Amino acid sequence: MTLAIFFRCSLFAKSGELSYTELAMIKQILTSFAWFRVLRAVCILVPVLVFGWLLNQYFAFGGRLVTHYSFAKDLRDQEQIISDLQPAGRVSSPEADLDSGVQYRRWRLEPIYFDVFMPRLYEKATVSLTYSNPSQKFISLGLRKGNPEIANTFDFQPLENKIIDHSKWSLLYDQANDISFLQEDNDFKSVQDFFNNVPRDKKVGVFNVNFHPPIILPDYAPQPGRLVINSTLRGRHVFYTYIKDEDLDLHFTWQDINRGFGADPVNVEIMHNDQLVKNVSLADDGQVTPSGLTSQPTDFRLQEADLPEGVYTIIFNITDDVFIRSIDTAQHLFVAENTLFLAAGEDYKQQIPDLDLAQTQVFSDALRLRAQTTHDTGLQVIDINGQSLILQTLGAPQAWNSPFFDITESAAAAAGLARPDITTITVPKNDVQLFANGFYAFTPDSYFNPRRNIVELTPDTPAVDLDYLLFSHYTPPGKRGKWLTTTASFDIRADHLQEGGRTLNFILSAPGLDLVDDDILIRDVTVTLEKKPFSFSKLKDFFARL
Amino acid sequence: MTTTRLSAKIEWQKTVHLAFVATVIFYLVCLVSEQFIPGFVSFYFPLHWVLWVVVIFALLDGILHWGVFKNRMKKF
Repeated sequence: MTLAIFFRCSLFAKSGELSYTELAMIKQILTSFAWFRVLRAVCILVPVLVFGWLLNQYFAFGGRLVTHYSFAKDLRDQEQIISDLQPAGRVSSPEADLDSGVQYRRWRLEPIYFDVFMPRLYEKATVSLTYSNPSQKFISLGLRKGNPEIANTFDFQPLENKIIDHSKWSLLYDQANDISFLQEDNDFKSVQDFFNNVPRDKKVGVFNVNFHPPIILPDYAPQPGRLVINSTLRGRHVFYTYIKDEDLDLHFTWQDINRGFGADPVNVEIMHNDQLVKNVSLADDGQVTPSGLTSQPTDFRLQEADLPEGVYTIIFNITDDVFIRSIDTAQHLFVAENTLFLAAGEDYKQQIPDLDLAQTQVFSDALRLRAQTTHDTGLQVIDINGQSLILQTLGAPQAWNSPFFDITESAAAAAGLARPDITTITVPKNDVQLFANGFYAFTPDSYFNPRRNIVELTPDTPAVDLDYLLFSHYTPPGKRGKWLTTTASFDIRADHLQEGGRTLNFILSAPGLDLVDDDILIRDVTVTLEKKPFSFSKLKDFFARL
Repeated sequence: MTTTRLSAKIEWQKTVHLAFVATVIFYLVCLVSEQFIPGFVSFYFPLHWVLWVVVIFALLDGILHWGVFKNRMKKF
């Protein structure tokens, strides 16, 4: 009936005139009971549907929850499933492209963090990022694992690697293991062929792949005497040593300064060819509150006989409250990897009165180094092969680049330049964290490269003449105009869950971003959380368990 | 007032009142849900938006029932 009246009214309207009868018809429509019934149904349905949608967002009956990072919500300061990009000083406020109106944020300093709050537990998180990146070589996304108070560790997935994206080398792909292999000349017919005959005299770049072929130092022989490291180190460290026809003998002393909450046990893992050889766990001193009471020096001797020849990894899994006061080892080749926290600074003198504040000298193969301090007493000028690295800002890593960083060995040789193998780093006041892609030795004689011809490709890797390139689980980003879109997926494990067990902490990393002129523009972050969809059989099982 | 207009007004009064009641119930359900599950609503829209809709319907309801209210006050 109502539709018929509407149809007739529209016919009248087309004629351009509305008579009294027609107006009466319109009035009839507006006052007809059918319309009120529809309106009332809408009044009830809208809240019911919205609430149903909210329930679906919470329970994700279909097994998927898709959320976009909202630039608008940033401005309104509304709660979000995807938190704001932090810290605020490293990204700009939302900006809009004048032509397209597209909103984005400028990523100026790295790393940046964001949290994803999961309304319920999910099994998989896929992060899709749309961004513009004119010059940064590497971008990766990490998901924090474990307790951040113990160690700042993340599971990283690559988002972009311009070296691979721009490579013109021929590609081999091992589908079974999802490993790709790039070679300039066709030396190998398959990836397996390469694994069976890894050439020792050729440089292999590795990216996002766990490739640690056994390293043998042909000229190695055990030496009498012990290596004593009296530099105080703070927190987690990873060391490498070499063993052949000798026992592993490591004696170390530590103290717990109890500045942070929680227990500070000492855990030491010995690894060989990715296999655990020995695991030692030593209990906390019993102080779990930030009392500031320093424990007495405690020492432990770790000995292991009949070990096969090769490189051994010694991992000190300790919190930042634990200071390694000294290491005394029978091994004469002994290096620390990537991160070194030289802790003998003025700030800790009150808690550890016998701390030796003398300058520390370390020797490294790194050609790019970052240094950071968090105390006023740690502000200083670090000397690196006669060059100065000035620390004048607290908590902000300062970078040093060797003049040879962007020059490959062959290019340096062609230009008649000698690229130094070892850099001497002198830290006058300590209390400094050093970050690099390389190894540090405490004496020139104890340095060795446990990776040999395997070069881990990171933003801190200097220009290198590679012969092969091995990578896995990497798909180059899709391009649309100046915008790139890429995704990274993580299987969520219990140790990924932070803050109440429902939050995932992500880190976006583009090391060296401060050294390039162009910012990265972040246009969109979409997070898809997945779990098994709802099923009635699951519901039945749930009730059966009650 | 003609019978048609009067009946139409009554229908509007009923409809707006229903909308007001529905939004009040929706607001209360959202409020309770938010208390038990933080973010249940506020991750998607601020809860005060719903409160504004309640206020608008309350005003409309009040305007449409103003005559009824006035008559009752007179009797009182």
